[in-house]
This record gives sequence, C-alpha cells and structure tokens, in this order.
Amino acid sequence: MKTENQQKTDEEIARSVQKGNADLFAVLIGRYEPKLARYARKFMSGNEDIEDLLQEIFVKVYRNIQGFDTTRRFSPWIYRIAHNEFVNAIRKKGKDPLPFFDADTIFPHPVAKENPGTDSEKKELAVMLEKCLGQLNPKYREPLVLYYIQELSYQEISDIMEIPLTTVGVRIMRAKEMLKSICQNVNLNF
Amino acid sequence: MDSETKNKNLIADEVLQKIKGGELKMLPRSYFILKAILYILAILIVFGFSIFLASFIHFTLHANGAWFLPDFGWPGFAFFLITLPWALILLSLIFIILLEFFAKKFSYRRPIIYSVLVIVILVAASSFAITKLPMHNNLFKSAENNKLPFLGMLYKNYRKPPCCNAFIGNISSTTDTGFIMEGEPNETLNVLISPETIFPRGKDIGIDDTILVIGERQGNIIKAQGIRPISEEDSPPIFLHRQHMKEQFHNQLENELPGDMPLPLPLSP
Repeated sequence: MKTENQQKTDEEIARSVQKGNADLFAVLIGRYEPKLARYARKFMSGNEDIEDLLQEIFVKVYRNIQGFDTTRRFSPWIYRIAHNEFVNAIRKKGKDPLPFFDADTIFPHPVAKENPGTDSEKKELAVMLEKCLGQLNPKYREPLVLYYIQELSYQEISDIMEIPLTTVGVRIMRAKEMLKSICQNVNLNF
Repeated sequence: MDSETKNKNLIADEVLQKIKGGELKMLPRSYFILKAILYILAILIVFGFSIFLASFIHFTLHANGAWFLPDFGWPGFAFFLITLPWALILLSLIFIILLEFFAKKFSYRRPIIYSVLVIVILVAASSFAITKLPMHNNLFKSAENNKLPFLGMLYKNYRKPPCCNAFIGNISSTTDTGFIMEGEPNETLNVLISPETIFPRGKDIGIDDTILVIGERQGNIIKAQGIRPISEEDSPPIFLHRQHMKEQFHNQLENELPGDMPLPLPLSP
C-alpha cells in the first residue's frame, strides 16, 4: 500500500521541498536514483564513479530546487542536471569529447518520427545496446540511451540535451545504423 | 536488501545528512529571480548595442557617401566593398552571435538557423526604424561641436569621405568645363565633366546640390568619371548642415536688407 507521499507527483513533492520539507527530498531521490544510475551506466564510458556522480546530481538538485518552476514537469529538469553532470565528467576525462557546437543543430532536417520499432526489432536493438553501445560516440550514445533505455520522448530528449527536435530524430537514426555496423564488425550479425 | 536499494538509501541518507547538518543549503528564490533579471538585462543590452551599431553603419555609409557608390556599376560596387566599415560589421556579427547564445536557452527546440534569422530580422528592422529618427544626426552634430566625449570619435572617424577616388560635396558654382564643389574637409575642388562622364541618376543637378563624384584627382582638379546627385533626405548631415546654414543666411539677409539691394554671394559656413 502506497503512503501519502508516494502518491504525490514529483512536482508536488518538489513544491513541498521548496517550502522547507527537506525530508521529502528522500522520496525524489528514491524515485530518480535507479533511473539516473541506469542512464549513467549506459551513457558513461565506464570507469567513472557513478555513485559519486549521482550524489553530486542530487546535491545540485537540492541546491537549485528553488529555481524549478513547479508548473512544469520535474523529470526533464532533473535529467537536464544529470546530463550536464555526465557531460562534464566525460569532458574532464578528455575521452570522446562532446562537441560544444554541432553542425547537426544548425539546419533543419527532414522530420524523423518517433518509431520504437516492432517487437523483433526491439529485441534485436536490446542485444545491440547491451553488447556494442560502449563503442558508440557519446554524441550518438546519449539519445539512444534516453530513447530506448529511459523510454523518454523526442520532446523530452530535446529538452534534456537542448538540441532541436529534428536533430534528436536524426541522431537516433544515425546511432542505430552506427550501432549495427559496430556490432557487425564484432561478428554480431543481425 | 539488494545492492541497488542499499545504494539508494546510502545516497539519500548522505544527502539528507548534509541538509540537516547545514552543509547543503538551497539557493534562495531571490538568487534565481536576480539571475533571470540579469539574463534579460544582458539580452536587452546586447540587443541595444546591436541595433545601435547596425543603424550607425547605415548612417555612416550615407554620411560618407559610400552607400551611393554601387550606382556607378561594377567599379562603384568594388569601391563600395572596399569602403565598407568591416570592423563595425564584424563587431555586429559578434553581437548577433552573442544574442544567439542567449536566445539558445529558449529556442533550442528549433534549428539554429531559424533563431539566427529571427535575430537578424529583428536587429535589421529595429535599426532601420532608428535610421528614420534624427538620433544619429543629433549625435553627429554633438560630436562636431565636441559635446560627445566617447562616441564623438566614432562619428568623426566614420564621416570621412570614402576612399578610392570618390568625393562628396556641394556644388558652389558652375564653370565652362564643369563646376566647383565644396568638399570635405572644407576644400574647393574643380570638377571637370567630359562626354565619358556617367550620370546614373540623371543630369538634373544645380548649385547647392549635394553630389557624389568618382574620378581621378590631380591637385584640386577631378576628372569626373561619374556624378550622382544625393537627395536632401539622403544627404550626409555635414552637407545638409551647410545647406541649411546658407538658407538661413539668405533668409536673414532678405529680411534685413532693403528690397533693391543685391544679395551677396553664398558663403561657406
């Protein structure tokens, strides 16, 4: 049976925390820690201390929570903080740096509609994500993780990464092709 | 208890411990309000600078006559390109990039090209509206009277006539071979007209008109390759100012002198 706090929405809890009810912040941590941990494990290249990163994210969330507009959705806001933290961690390591400015975001692309694929395609992709995701450039890895593993919409991914909606579609499409090619090179034929 | 649940509790416990120990505090709401106000202020300031600069470029091109050079065909267009205030144009581009950087916070959902286009159109439209106001003319006059401490230099520097054998001035009298022109800075030039001289806007020019002449200069003589009148609306403020001074001078004399006395020749201010 759910407690009263567990029935509250993220935004309602955030509002309570803003008003000084710090204990409720634990509920938000409880809700987002597994999601963000999965996001971090799949997006980061490997050796980072995920636990430290997650703690830093929640510290930043709490410190900045008065800047959160409770009339908007909490999820993209916390994911945006996590995205910034992960990107900074990747930049610090200097491996596969994410471009500060990307040509993909300048011009419009043909609209690539959201299409998670059929069941067999999903299974195929799940195997590819499991085996070959680490070899993909972070620029392409992240939207793939957010869409297929975190099950976020293009709109949410656009808000988290602060890139145009059509660029999200294009990167996911390219990422799938690259992933297929990487997997074929390591003899995982589909 | 699995390791994930243990981790979850560990992070929650550590964060709550920091909060309760006073080590971790929320930033006050006023911090975010101030940040938003500063952000908007920065956008407004950069936007203000951009439209001032864009309208100043428009003003300066009219003030030194460079704007009218393309009327003389390809050579005129080449002169126009050379004369453009590239440093100011580069500075404007930097301001536009800065505006785009600020706007990205709100416009990231659409490709950058769209927000850049919107910014360019907004800056162009606002600066065009400013060129219709007497702001730059007034600032220019203040600069001429040394009443504009910092911007004064900018106005004085960019009012100079364009390079490349292009001259701007008022016709003061006609001669058998052309006319005498009072140029800038206060020099008298003898303009020679030949059958090869082109008049892209017609030959309807007379004394006191402001004109742009392109041609080779030897001493105070210019062999005109092209002559273009500049309307009062487009006339650079320094020449417009001279014309008004002359008109005022004549009106004053007409009022003061008896009707049968001849008017003296126009004088330079």
